Amino acid sequence: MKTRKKELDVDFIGSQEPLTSSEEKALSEFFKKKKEMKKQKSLRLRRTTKKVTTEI
Amino acid sequence: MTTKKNGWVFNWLTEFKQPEREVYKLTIVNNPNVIQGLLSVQVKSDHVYMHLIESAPFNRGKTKMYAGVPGNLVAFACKLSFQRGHEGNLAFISKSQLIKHYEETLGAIHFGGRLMIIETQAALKLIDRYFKNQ
Repeated sequence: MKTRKKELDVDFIGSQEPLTSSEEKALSEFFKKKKEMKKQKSLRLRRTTKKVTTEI
Repeated sequence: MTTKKNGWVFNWLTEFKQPEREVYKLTIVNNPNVIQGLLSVQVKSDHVYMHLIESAPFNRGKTKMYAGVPGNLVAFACKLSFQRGHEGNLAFISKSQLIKHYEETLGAIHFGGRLMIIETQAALKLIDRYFKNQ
């Protein structure tokens, strides 16, 4: 049986008031950390793919 | 005109005048002059910040002409985030009573306080739902 997705039911999103500096900082730190983690993950992956196995 | 006199709630002229913000309108095919909804975003260094979304006055409430206007605009903002190299990451603010609704309908995450974020996987799902034929 298919379940029906709940639809977004609003007419407005957001506010014209600016973000506070602490909100700006929190977001920027979060996305920065996320980017760094992704970079480290891809570096780790690249290292493992470089491994060469030799047959004896 | 998207003025308060014509039933629009936000001051879109102010949005339009801010150079760091990009304002997009949603229209239907073959009728580019009638605005169905508006979106204001700002492309930050590592995500897209969604300042505002507003459905046109005739697209609100039970008698709305078209459903899905805000969802379509959120999905567009996610698409823009991918296009600008930010992996679909999107942030916006929510009223406290709508946090759960955004979690359930957009796959958004409550970041803390009034902040909500949409990350890559949720963004892909939204794009898939609203831009299926593209």
